[in-house]
Amino acid sequence: MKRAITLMVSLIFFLTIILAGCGTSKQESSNNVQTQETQKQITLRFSWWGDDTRHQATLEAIKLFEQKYPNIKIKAEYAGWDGYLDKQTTQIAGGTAADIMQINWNWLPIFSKDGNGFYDLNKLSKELGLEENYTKNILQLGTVNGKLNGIPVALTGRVIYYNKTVYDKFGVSTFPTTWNDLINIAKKFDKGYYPMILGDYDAWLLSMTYAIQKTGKPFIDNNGKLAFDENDIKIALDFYKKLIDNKVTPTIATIANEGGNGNAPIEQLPSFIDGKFAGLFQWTSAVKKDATPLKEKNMELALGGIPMDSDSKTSGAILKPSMLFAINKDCKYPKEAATFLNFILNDPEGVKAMGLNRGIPVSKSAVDTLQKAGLISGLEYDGLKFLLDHPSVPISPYLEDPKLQDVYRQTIDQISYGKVTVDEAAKYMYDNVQKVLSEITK
Amino acid sequence: MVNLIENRNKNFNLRQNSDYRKREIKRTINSAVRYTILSIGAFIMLYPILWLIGASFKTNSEIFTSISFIPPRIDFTPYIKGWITGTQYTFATYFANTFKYVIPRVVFTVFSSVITAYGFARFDFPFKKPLFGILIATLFLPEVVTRIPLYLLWKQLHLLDTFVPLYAPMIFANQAFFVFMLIQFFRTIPRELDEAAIIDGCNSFEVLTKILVPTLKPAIITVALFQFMWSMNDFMGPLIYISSVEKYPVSIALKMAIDTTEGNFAWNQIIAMSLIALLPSIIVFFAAQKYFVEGIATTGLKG
Amino acid sequence: MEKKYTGLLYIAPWLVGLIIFTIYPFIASFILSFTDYKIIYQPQFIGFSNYIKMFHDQLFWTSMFASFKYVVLTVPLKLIFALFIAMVLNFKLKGINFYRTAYYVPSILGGNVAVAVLWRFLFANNGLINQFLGIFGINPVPWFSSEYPALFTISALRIWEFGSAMVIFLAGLKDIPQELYEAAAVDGATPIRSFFKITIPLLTPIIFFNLVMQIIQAFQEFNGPYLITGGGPLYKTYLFPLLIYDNAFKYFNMGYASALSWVLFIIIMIFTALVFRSSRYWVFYSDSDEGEVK
Repeated sequence: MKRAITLMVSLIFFLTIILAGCGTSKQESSNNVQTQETQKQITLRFSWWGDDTRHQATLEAIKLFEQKYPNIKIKAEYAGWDGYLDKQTTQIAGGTAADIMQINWNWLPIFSKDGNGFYDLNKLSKELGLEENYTKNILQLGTVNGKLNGIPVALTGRVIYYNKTVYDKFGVSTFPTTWNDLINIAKKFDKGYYPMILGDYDAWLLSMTYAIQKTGKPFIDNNGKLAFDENDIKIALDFYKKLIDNKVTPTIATIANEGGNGNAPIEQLPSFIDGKFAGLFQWTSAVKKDATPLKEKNMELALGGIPMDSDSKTSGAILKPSMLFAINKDCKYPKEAATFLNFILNDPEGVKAMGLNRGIPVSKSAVDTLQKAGLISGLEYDGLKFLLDHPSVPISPYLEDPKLQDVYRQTIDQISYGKVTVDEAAKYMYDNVQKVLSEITK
Repeated sequence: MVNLIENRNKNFNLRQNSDYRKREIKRTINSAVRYTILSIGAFIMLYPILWLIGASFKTNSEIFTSISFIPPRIDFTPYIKGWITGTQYTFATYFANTFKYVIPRVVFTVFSSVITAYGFARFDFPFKKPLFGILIATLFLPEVVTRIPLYLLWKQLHLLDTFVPLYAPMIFANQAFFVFMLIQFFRTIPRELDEAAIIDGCNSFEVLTKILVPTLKPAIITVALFQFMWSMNDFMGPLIYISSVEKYPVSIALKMAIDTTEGNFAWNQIIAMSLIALLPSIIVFFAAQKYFVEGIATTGLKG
Repeated sequence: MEKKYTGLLYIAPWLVGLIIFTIYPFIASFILSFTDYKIIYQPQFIGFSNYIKMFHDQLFWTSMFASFKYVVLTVPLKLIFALFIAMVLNFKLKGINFYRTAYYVPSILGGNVAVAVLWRFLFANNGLINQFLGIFGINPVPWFSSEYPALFTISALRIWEFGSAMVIFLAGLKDIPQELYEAAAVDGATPIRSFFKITIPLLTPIIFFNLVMQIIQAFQEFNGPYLITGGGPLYKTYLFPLLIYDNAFKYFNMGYASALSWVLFIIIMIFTALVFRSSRYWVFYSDSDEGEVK
């Protein structure tokens, strides 16, 4: 018996040693390779999320870059959107994040509250071609505390798109240009049909847009302070109440009963695909996925823009970078990383390879290149053009803070389910937005 | 007198005969009822798979508007396209990667869990109760809060971006679920079995390998089966520890295919691939079936 | 003397693993629960603030109650279902292999995309279930937009995925000697009597295991509500683990998430201890007269 036990215990230790041993030796050997190659070649890690077409395009651009700069090797670390933030967070916490990262705009305040979370790209202005290709306003969007943390890749904003086929059917030939008209056309729609579908977050953003038009104030100002007062919030929420009362949009309960509002995106809801929910307030960068299923059903999605009353002080347009490229603050070769970013963002060769897979680029030379190639057109471009033609008050990156999003959702849900009056909801929202903002900006 | 007896006998025979026939009918009805219920149940249970198969031949809009599982057309392009993927590797690579850590996981789990469970179930030792308490308590804490400390541990060991963090803990019976389960199974076996073996000259390790393991075969197969299927599905573990695309397992590759942020996706392709990803688990489960059906040779010794 | 430590040697591998892989992250998360830890910045010690904060956090109470209701709803139904199907599948019938696999398939699916889509087809307002109820003149049930139906909708998913518990029951049933039933049949026992006098008592260690594990898993349920309701309507299906996850990786309050996790730890511990305590009255072990390990 003793022998058996001794055997077992030694087996365990043996295994431990082997495992630990082979792990480290592997690691060391790869390190050796790296140090040996440093003299002639360096490797940069580049992480992004996306779908297959984006992966293909980016890999192609990397290949072209490596041909042009044979001493720089780009190690592609790509994944789907699901879990990307979890992984990014863990890597940043562990100090193992990639050298070049694709990040979301609302992650800036999370990962770099003081501007020191990422490399300050202003230091690489020349390598990145910042002056020639980007306006100050655009770069401001990626700047925290005076430090340029990320280069906006593309812009996206919220506009209304509508199901032209269904609108035509009910005798509405163009999308209404005033809010009153929007409310009025709902009466022309058959029972069970709605001119728009607004999930709780969409509902808040559209109502906020309305209130910005009326007040001319941003919701959250540049310093991360709530600029709306309780009454301004009430203007927005009253408007939402009016929309559901007049059946411009189904209630949250109706949407939930289709399985939506939880994790079912609009493009998967049968009523949307069948044309019963005949419009939506969508990011320009995401409109393609809504247009595709409708096209399969022989229906056409068209740009509706944003309605405006004659007393509007501004358009209320929400426009933000859809994503940014950032460089790790601990990156050993920031210059080379900047060279790579310049290649994929501004160099015609790289731009062509990257195509429109990250949205319509903001870089001037990229737009030139793509326009010459006749690639820029379609619903996304129409929407973006509308937003650029109707500028509004600046948008704070805190607007889309995850915790604030939950406050907006909760407020809209409570109104929609009839649990609270608009006054109560406005107070709830005002208090909670204040509370969350003071937590996240402190 | 004789007549009477004869008559009685005849009656008896007749009754037995009709009894037998009745029982036969009853049995037929019984099994017909059983099969009907089983089949209806099986249809409900299998519906999602049937629907998935049907959906892999549908367009995006058809998928979300029809619950019917009958494919509107037969076209295997989604399967081929899905298999090739838009990445640098095909699903063959991703499958190979998956097995590189799933198989060690299963093997290590079975060995270490059986040995640990045996220690808990059959021996008295100092601090047994508190240690058993700790074993169970390791199940209570949500994984989200231990994720980062563990990640830092593996970073210290220079084992990030390898498969080691995914299977090394299994060498140490790190999943209390399996240990606890096996303890419960050990405890359904009377100790007389062990004692008899010890009298026959077995040491404690031989009691385990020669007597208990054969008796517990269904439970041990269950452990292996669960570990296999759960490891195949595990997404968070590989996502956190593996960062090179060439090392991605199927679970990550699948989530990559499901990315719908840009709107270029074809759902039928995603569904085709998720079906293929399910195949190994279904096949392994089906193959392991017979070990549940088989009776146990040693049952005579029990009770 | 030697015998006293034999058991310790057998559990040695687990003990080593415990020290390396479990104790350290557990202690780390416990310490973090007393800090303000935003993951990417250094943790700041803040004493009991996180624990005090909970009592004023509306969502803490909402999600705690939701989790309790969910556990009460799901665990018994799932166990009864799993045991019933295991009994049915324990017969030697032709093609039983196929049926066993069929009944396990939902559990293999887990959190597959198809499940969420299918649940919508079933529970949507004009979905299959409401259409079926309509035959009997029952008004459509708002499965997604009202508290109890919504809780049931997510529990239905887990009940439907009863396969793991079923397989464990099946393995347990296989351990019951057939002779006992034969002997009982000779004594004139009905199948129902045999079920309660033979099957259930001999299966109690396995029932006990499944009960403990199902309670633990139900308290940690994340995927169901995450996939199907997203915690809605109005946080009615926002189970406790969703709150923990959101605080950890959505709001980046890892300190608070750690504190919440330790509260969950204590709650699960109390429940598990109660079940263990009760086990001496109803669990029968064949290996001893007195019962439980603990």
